[in-house]
Amino acid sequence: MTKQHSGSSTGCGAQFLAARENPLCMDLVTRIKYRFAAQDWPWHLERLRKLNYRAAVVGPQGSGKTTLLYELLEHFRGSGIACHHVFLPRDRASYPGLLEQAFQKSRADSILLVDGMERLNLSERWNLLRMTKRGPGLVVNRHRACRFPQKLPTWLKTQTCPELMSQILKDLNLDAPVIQSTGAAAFAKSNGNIREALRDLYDQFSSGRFNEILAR
Amino acid sequence: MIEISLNQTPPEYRPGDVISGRVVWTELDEQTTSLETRLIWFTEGKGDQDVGVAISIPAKLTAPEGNLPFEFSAPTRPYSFSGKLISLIWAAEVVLFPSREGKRKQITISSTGKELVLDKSHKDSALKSAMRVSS
Repeated sequence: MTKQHSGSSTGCGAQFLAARENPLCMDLVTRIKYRFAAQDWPWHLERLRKLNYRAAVVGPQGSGKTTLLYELLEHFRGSGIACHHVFLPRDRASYPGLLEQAFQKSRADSILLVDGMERLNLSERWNLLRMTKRGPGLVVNRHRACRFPQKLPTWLKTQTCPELMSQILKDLNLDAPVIQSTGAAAFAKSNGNIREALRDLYDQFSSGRFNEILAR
Repeated sequence: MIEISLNQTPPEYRPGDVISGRVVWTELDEQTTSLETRLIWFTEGKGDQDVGVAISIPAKLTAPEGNLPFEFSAPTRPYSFSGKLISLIWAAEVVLFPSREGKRKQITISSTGKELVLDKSHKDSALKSAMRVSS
């Protein structure tokens, strides 16, 4: 995950860093891999299998739930396991169609991966659990553990820490002390929400604050 | 292995200009059956990425080694531009199927051939210029 930076943007001076040169642009940030606090993918996949592929990823905002679900999707596809991913956006207008499509896929023997289950209302959640009960699996993202863990046990709890933020910046080749300390401050300001902290840092890069460091 | 090269250096084009180059492939495995040479644009920046395919030229592969020239006409819109939050980037790319592996060469398209820069000092005029072309 490397990207060369000119450091001085597109001829617009030191006060400005073009979006395409920002080391925290979405293209690079989405390549960051999920880091397990303990164990590795084979171990966690085996645990998920023992849960009959029916489980929840639980964690606060910006703790890696979506990243984890996308990687799970890749693992399933790489292993030839049929799966269908549904991202529930904030715009609720598209939900009925998305869920109906998801149920059809589930009936067609695909494990459903639902990102953003907390955006469903109680009745929709109940319906999702009921409609997929006989299907091959349901893995969801949510902020809190399921009220009825026997229906959807927690597979993984995602969490963040300052060391994780630091390591992510290192992975992005942003190891300079001033960037690390700014990252730590952004992490604290966002109450551990790494996505928000990275967006905060993006703005600081775009202002040209770190152009000199990037040019080195 | 697949490579894409452009005939023009620097790769700066005005709308209507001919964007030409060549795709060269070697030692492709038997599973690779076809390729597509494309002229695409994509965004990079703080938000989600957006991608558009302006022109696509498919080709069947009959040998593990070979080359193919390509030629596109540079579209009238949108222009290449960069601001703090978003950059719009044009590129010529080649994609192999079914693996979807590929290579890409970035280019710029605008009335001057240079990327529009949306900084504070001339954001309004640059943006209006881009909008005029887009509308």
